[in-house]
Amino acid sequence: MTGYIIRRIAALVPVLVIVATVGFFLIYLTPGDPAAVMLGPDATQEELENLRRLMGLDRPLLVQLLRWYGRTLRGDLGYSIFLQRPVLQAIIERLEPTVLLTLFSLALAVAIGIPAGVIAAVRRNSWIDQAAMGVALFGVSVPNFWLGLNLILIFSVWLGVLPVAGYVPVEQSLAGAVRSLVLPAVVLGISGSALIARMTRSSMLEVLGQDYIRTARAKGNLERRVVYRHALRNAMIPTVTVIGLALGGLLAGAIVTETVFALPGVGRLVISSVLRRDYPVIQGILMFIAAIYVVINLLIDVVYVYLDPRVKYV
Amino acid sequence: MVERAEIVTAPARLVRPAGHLWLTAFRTLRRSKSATIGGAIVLAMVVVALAAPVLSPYDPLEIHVPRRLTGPGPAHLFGTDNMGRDILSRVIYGARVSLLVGGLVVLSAAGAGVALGLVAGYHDRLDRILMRIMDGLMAFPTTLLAIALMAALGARLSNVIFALAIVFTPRVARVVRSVTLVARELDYVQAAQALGARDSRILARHVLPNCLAPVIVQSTFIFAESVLAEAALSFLGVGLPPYVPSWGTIITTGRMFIQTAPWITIFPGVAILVAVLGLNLLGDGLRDLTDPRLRGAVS
Amino acid sequence: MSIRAIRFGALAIVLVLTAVLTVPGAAQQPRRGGALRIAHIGEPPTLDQHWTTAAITGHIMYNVNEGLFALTTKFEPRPVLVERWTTSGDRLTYTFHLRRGVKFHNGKDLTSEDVKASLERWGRIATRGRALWPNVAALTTPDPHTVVMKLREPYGLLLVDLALPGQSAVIFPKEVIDEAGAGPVRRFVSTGPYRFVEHLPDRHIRLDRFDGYAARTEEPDGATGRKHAYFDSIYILPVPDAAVRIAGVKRGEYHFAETVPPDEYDRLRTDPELMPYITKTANWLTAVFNHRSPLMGNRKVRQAFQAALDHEAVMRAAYGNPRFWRLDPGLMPKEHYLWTDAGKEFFNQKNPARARQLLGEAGYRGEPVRWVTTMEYVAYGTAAQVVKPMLETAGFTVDLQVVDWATLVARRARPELWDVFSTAFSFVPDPVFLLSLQPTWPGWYDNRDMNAMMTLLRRHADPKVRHDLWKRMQKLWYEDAGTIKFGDYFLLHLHRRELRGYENIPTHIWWNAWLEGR
Repeated sequence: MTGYIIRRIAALVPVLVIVATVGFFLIYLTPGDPAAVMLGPDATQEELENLRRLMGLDRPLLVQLLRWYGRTLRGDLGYSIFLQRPVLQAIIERLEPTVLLTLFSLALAVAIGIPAGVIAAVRRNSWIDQAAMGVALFGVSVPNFWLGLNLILIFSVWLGVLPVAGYVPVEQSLAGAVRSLVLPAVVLGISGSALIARMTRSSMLEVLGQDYIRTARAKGNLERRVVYRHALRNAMIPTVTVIGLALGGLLAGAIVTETVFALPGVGRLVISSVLRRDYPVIQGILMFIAAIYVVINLLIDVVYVYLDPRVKYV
Repeated sequence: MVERAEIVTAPARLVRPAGHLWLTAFRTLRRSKSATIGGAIVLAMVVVALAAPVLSPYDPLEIHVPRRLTGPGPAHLFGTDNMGRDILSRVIYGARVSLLVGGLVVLSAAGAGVALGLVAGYHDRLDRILMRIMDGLMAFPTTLLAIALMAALGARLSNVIFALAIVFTPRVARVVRSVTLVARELDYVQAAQALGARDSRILARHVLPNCLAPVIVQSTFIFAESVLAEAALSFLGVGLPPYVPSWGTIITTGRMFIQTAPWITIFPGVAILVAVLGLNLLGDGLRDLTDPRLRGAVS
Repeated sequence: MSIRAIRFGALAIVLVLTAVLTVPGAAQQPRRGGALRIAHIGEPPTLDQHWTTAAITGHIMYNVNEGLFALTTKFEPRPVLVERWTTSGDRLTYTFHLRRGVKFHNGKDLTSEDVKASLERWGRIATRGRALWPNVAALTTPDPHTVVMKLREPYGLLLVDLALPGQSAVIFPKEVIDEAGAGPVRRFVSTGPYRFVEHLPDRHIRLDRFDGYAARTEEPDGATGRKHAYFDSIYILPVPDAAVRIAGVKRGEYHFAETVPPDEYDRLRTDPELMPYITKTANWLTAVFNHRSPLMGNRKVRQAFQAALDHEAVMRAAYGNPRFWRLDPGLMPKEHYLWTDAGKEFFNQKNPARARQLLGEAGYRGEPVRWVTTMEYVAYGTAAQVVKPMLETAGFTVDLQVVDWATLVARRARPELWDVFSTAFSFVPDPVFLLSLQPTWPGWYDNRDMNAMMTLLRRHADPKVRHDLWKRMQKLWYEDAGTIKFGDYFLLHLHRRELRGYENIPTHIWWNAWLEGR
């Protein structure tokens, strides 16, 4: 077990190197001089040269890349001229709404998705299954942002029960924070629960087809007991994986949803930064989120191995 | 992540190359209700996209300011936007953009993914490097990577396709690699190898056909996600420029008028929903047909 | 005073929209307290008022910053940080005596050194400052409360120059300026009724009441006279989506929404909680040419652009409701004493054939016109989208680049990055201040004849002489296709009924406004 974890962590290193490399080369895909765009109005040639030196744009590519690895390793994600602060600080300042939104919607997705998936699998091909999977199919097909716009129109504008947009930080008012996150969490939760329901159903079906379940049934165990004692426990194993995958989807969905609901999170920061051509921030967020995602997946893999000792890969 | 993903996606049944491909495909499709419905929706979308010039009552780019913000009616079934452009025509042409983006993304991602997957699955040394790169790319949430690429490349149709192709290639490569790993061990492949057949021949004749079904299933889902992703990118202002009639850009324009002229946002939204629903149904159906064991699973 | 000679009295901003004007509850007792929440269109490119002409920066920071003078609702300059001033007989020497006991937000007293440093910086980096400074012979500080400005030749509009709210000649402490070096200031300190607290990008900018504010005693008029900070705080929130701005004001999340689409007007005015506010001065919607780019530096190409346009379609698409816009070739609005329609034959030509011919003469071979625009000000982006096919019909290739406003402002400063950009000009009390006539402003329109006439316009005070001069300037402007004026428009802002005492001339005036108690 320990050996496995160490091997998994070791395997992360090349992935993170790739992540950092992608982040680095992003700026080289860009037409034009990023230093020029970042400096803004009335910049002199001298100021431009200074910034280029600061960014190391005058050095050979390989040197820049190695320096970039070094900087990234130290957690230095660069400096945003527009925001007037280090990128890492800017990201951390925006983390609260994003983290809360992701957690809320994940909770919602798990609370709806797993029971729906289990019931659908147990009552396979019944009307419940078909209804649940129909709704789930809708959930994975509806565009998040469009759903968000419609929910704002209904709940905030017409019914006036929830705020239109914006965010109240937790330290200001917990209730306010929750109120401002309800609609976006519902939007994200819908697609998340749809995804989880579909995946839970299929892993349940797989488990229900296994020999030991048939044996349990043959021994005359009550159906409910079979489902909950035997099947669900085993189905939980791939479901952990599913949650990990869904989390990635939710993080991605948060980018869009935050913009629709004007939540000042990391997602909105990345979109504003694209519109401002604030490349250090885009780079930084790209790598920050990827690193988090990789670490979460590592944790999930570990939990997975813990739950299912039969899994002995690599 | 490598190990886990294989559990979910590794196909159990390996399909031998079929004779009358189209006929077989059609007959097979009819066996699944969701594949039939999904296929019909997708077919309808293709027809709408191809016949856009015939079907659309107006030029989607034609600005006619005096008729701006007209509600749905006989002259404009879906109404007009703030520049007097006909929403129905823009939605119809939007199908073209979605189809073009989805289609080209699928073709490039499938092409690159199959090539990379075959190589990785067949050459152990390259496997390590290639799969690490794929893992690295898959560490980014799809939308985020696409947004960052768009930021670097600029808002153009070709760039949207390129960005999404990069985002989705690792998925195909994954699937193909795992099929290849299984296929390598099959008797007839081993036999061919023993007989001294060249690697390229073995891959093309024996391994590739086995990949066909899972790649088609995967491609359908990628298509669906590309349509959603293009709409989202364009909506966020980092995809297509606002004058291009894409479902995402129409919604962005309509967003400002969501209370005075809700028709601008409603119709393209429904179009996305129907198209993606159709693609997902088709994907579900195809997966069930090619791999009944995974009925209802999602890759 | 020479200024009188320019007949500011005649400036009479006739209110075209008198019928819909909102009357602030004058009889009501102002209430102290509460936090004003303003939904603005996005992020400011910078908070340094010397640095940019972008209106959003002024909207926010004019609550914080003060200059020597400010404008009344009739666009007359009145003193703010100045107690009294004298003008020498030859009209070349201005002596400003500063008010005593004025404190900066950092607790320091205002001195003539701060004024000198600020005005010099403004003269170095601000568009109008750079236009003015060649005429400044010396700026001296004989004592801590006196500043003397010597001009090379008489200039009747000097005080207006110092009083304009856009890219305003506001006063910062000397140390703040020294610390900024060649860049924008990093601390936002001045003497205004509100002080800067924090800027959290994409979240808010917060201003708090400045308790040490030294108010004047004169009756408030425009940006002049007594200023009273009734709000405890002012929050400026970036809300790029106009529909959200409106919905937020309706729901009471914001008290004020900057620039909402005029299409909403009829619906908004029926809501008893809401006060749609139509600005009283005419602005103009424009597309600015880059005279330093190889493409738009070509006069024939500019003329082709000009010939291809249908201005009515542009204005209707951008502003909808006809009460919010009008077609008028005058670079100064109809209400202004210098108004003229000289050059009107070049306005609203709707002549793609002529445009095509001009392009042929120019030797144009399909080089893309890089047009930078934004959807944050919806009208700008809409106008650009409407014009694009008009240009294409005439044979242009158009590369429309949609960015956010802050990026546009950054990009327009760099001549190699663009050919055309979208913006609008707010009303200025004299053609001398028109940004698009300044060779130093992005676009860099630098015509020798125009510059010569501008010098004369600055020098002369006689209305008749000025009018004749201005007619010739406007005519040259149109012949030369300096930039495009699409038409006049009036902005629609929206605020809640409980926001009282708000004024909009010469710019947003949120001091002296208050929130009515419930």
